[in-house]
Amino acid sequence: MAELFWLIPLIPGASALLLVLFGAKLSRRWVAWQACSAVFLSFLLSSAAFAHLVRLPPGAPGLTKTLFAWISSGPFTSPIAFAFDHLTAVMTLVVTGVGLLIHVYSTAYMAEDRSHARYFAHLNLFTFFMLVLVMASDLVLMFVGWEGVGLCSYLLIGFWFERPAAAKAGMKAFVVNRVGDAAFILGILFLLANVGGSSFSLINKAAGGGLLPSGLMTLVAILLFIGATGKSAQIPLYVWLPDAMEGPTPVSALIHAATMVTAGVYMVCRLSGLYAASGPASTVVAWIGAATALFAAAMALVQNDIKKVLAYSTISQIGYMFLGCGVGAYAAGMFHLVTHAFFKSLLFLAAGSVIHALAGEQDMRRMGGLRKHLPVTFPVFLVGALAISGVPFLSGFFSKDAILTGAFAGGQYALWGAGLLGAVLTAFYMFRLVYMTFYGKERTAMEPGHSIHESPRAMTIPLVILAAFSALAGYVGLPVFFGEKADLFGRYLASSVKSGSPHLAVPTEGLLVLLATASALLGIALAFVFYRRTPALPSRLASRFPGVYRLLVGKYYIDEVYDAVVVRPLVRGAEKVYERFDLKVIDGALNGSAAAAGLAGKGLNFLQSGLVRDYALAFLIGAITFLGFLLL
Amino acid sequence: MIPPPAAFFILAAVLFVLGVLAFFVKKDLLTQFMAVEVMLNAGNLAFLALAKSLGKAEGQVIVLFVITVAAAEAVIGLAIIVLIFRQRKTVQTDELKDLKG
Amino acid sequence: MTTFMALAPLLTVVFGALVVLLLEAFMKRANREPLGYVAALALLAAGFFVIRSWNRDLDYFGGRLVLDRFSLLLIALFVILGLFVLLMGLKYAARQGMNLGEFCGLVLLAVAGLMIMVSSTDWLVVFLGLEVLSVASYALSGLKKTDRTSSEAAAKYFLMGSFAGAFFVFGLALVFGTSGSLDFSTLLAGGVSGAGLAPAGAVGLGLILAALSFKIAIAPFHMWAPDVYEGAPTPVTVFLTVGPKAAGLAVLFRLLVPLLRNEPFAAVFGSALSLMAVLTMFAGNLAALRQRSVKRMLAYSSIAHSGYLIVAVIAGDGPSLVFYLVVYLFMNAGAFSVLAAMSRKGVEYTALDDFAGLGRRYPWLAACLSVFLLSLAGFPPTAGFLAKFYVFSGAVREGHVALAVAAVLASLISVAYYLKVIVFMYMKEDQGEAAIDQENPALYLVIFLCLFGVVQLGLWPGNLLALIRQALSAAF
Repeated sequence: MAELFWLIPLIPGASALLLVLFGAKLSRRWVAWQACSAVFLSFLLSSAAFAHLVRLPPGAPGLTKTLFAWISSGPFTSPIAFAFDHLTAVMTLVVTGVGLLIHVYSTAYMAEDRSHARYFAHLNLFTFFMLVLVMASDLVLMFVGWEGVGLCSYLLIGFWFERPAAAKAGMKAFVVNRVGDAAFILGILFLLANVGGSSFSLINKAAGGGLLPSGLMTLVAILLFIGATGKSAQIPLYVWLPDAMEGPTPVSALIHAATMVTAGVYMVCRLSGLYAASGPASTVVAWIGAATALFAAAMALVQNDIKKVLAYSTISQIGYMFLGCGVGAYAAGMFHLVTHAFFKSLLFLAAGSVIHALAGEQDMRRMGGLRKHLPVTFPVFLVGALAISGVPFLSGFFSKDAILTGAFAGGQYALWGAGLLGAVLTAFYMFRLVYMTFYGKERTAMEPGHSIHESPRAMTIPLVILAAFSALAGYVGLPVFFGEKADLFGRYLASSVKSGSPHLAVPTEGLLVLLATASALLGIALAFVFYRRTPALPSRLASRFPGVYRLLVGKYYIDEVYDAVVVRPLVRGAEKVYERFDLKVIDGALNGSAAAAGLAGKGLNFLQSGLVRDYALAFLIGAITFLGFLLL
Repeated sequence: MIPPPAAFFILAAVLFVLGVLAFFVKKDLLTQFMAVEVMLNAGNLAFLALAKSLGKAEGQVIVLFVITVAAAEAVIGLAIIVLIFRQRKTVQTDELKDLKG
Repeated sequence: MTTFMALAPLLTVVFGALVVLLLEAFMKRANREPLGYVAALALLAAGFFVIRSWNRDLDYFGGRLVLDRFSLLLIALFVILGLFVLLMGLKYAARQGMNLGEFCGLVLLAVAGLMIMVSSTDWLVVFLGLEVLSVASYALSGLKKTDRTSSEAAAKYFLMGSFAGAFFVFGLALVFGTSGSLDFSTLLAGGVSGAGLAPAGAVGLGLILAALSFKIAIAPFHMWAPDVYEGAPTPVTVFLTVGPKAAGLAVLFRLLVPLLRNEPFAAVFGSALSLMAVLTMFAGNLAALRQRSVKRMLAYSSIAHSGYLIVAVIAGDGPSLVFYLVVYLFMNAGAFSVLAAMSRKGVEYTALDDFAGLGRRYPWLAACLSVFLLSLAGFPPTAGFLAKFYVFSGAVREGHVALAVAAVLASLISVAYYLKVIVFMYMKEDQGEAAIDQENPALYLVIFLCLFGVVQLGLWPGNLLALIRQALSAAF
């Protein structure tokens, strides 16, 4: 069965085609079943291929299948060929596995939607393109998938196009991604002109063998990375992702958390030969990653929309992955990608379950106390939150630790420090979310007659499965003090990506682990203090009778001190940055360039006056200028 | 006395520029088309002058072709102008601005 | 080999045109579609002769009309274009008040003009071809005689076209005066030998290039194009956006590529053309952004595509140029065919709002248009992506990096407006008005063929590219 692996992308593709053309005529049940079984088949095939792969002797190349010659001309050739090596296997399993769960979840979440068939058609189409992206054996075919997932993401963000915000968000996502893609295609063009081919092995070999001038390598690596900042929502092209939350929640989970947005990380790992050979480019990757991780975590502090918190959190976590790749710990980056796929899709789906229960409410200020009403959603959400915060023995702990260790081992102490600070923030905003949503007083503004209810089984079962993976997935990549061979994941990927920095001594690594744990716990403690122990009522009292209150409950002074020293600067600072930088500078720059293009168009439309003499004048001016060129 | 070919060529160039100017100054389809005819004939004159100075008969042949082409163009052009006049009761060029932007 | 057979494709088409026009005059039946079939037959016969002449290097008129492989390839392209246009027009003519007999005859004549243009290396013959093409196109644009915009398009095209034609003639005279001949090679010999051109010759060449740029619709000589493309009957628009552009570029390519290989010229022509290419790409794409009419938007898009094509000329990349032209024929004809399908008796739906909800009402039509638009936008894995990819990578390979960057940025802008149509089709509530008359088998055949072309060339471009390379290897 393994040799049929090239069918993995094609099955969802065929299903998508059928759904696009005939979806309107099929019954809802049929549509849902077809969409899910297509992904399920792909998942089975991926598992079979994976089983085949791990049985191969070490050093053996993975599976490859050339379907047909595509661009086979002159200086370079690029066949339509799929490859299935260790790195691909990881991505394929994540895409089909998490994808399957999200498809199942969607059957319930979208059951009532008017455009049910269109939804599943697009979701299948997305799976197809995503699989093309990860299974492509060369850069040009990868670009096909790269563009395709962008298109699907756009279609799915704007799925509820009746809402102007959704349509606008879709457009924004597409435009921002195209900016990145323009750089990406330029990178490809430069590579083609200089390497003479576009297959990954060729590129990595040429880069590793020193066949390329280092300036060119850096240029190409940075151009490709700009493409990745668009797709993976990094500074400065991250602005589309928070808005992308206008799409249905399962879409946010699949595309904007687990798979598509991590494509950039995958690309960097795929081309690890190129990035490893280019020091400056790797530095850029690492610093952009670290900056994004910190910055987005700060942004997440001040969001009140539950999905936006998760969106900024995604941006931040992807920053960690790039940080890992930038310091040479590619396997750690991929490891975090995998664990993140589990816990972040879990968090999104659980958030979806919350939203579902509250009939569409997304504002955390109108939630609270949901713990009692959602007996399945709450515990799984908690697992996800603990995992992402890096609490020991859950998956996120191991993968984040691997990245931080990699940074430390590479001598990049500043990056390591940034990562550690980011970890505090992560735990803080995550538990802020948990406390605001599930604890405290109920602040829901539901109309009477609508009771808060747990979601149907089709939604809770995927949640439970994902929770199990979020808890346990970390054990495939244990730190070094569990033994030299404990890092199964790293050893497994060794044949596909460049190996990272040297291992640290066990005591050093132990210390790092302790520090990481401490920062996670610190974040949680801070959140506990400010969003749990100080509930809304006392603070209202406090503001009404400040003097009396302080006198009576002096113990809260400690909170005030905390508040003044830690939280207020943090949150206020984040708020300021959010307003000034996020909304004004970056958003403004993008909106501004779109407006400038529109304005230029307007000017051109004005010149196109409809009068023949104006046209003739343009002709004459053109001719005279042209003659000037020729004569001078 | 017959002026030298160069003089004819200069005349042709002047005619061409005049044609261009007329195209911009005039405001109705018919006169603008006449301006184009002036430009075309300036080309013809230039061809003749150059053919004479180069001593090549080819240039004179070309002129016959250009005249033929100009005639064909005139036929179709006048038909279009008549069509415009029927629809709009005017042949002012500036009235043709339904299509713009 | 000099033989009368070299004229066979051309004569077949011209003869077909005469037959159609005669039949039209004497035909009493109301249904004129048989005329279309006669015309199509003439084109097919011409196509047959093209295939017969392949690899035989026929010529006639003392070598002034040459059927080398380059010209045969382009003639084949024009034959396909002509067939598409004819098939699109069959029902369109009756519905939109256009005389089918005249339409078919004029399309054949215009195709003849294109054939003449690409199969000659003599300026005079090129000029004659250009004028045959132009005169036929003026009439074609005004064929909807009761329609104000159609006549306006014809008048504007005619006025601007003859203005540009006069520049061509005067330029010819100057070139003739400096080189004593109208053969491309004589002119180039002067340049290639390093002597350079006399100023008068340079001016002449400049005037000729301006007139050619006019035909190809390169900024700033493009301003007639949006108006004419919008006003002309839709099948004619397809013809105008592809035919003259392809022929003009072929002539430009034959003329410029030897020049661009020589230093003093390369610098001057290269920079002037690069400037025009950038201007064209941005002017076309930016102006298309705000259009509310899909037809006019596609008109501007056609201008932008001229810009990308010029990039291929500057890079001297013949195979990419021809490949792009072929792909452009399919995707552009496809998009306009769907536009032509959006019609019923006396009504054409071209406004963006008319496309709202098309995805629900006519899913197949909407799906086809989406593919064509994505291809025009250069979205992988459609043929449009490959075409752009070849052109841009050729430019980078030849060291025109800045030009490639500009081209990538320009096509970045273009996505916005192509996608807008798709958004309207799938993501807007329909207004429930645009009810279209679907009985139009010939048109659907064209749509299908274009779809086939776009997908086929996107995934399996190898054969066509091999053919193009073979065709160009001899000539350049």
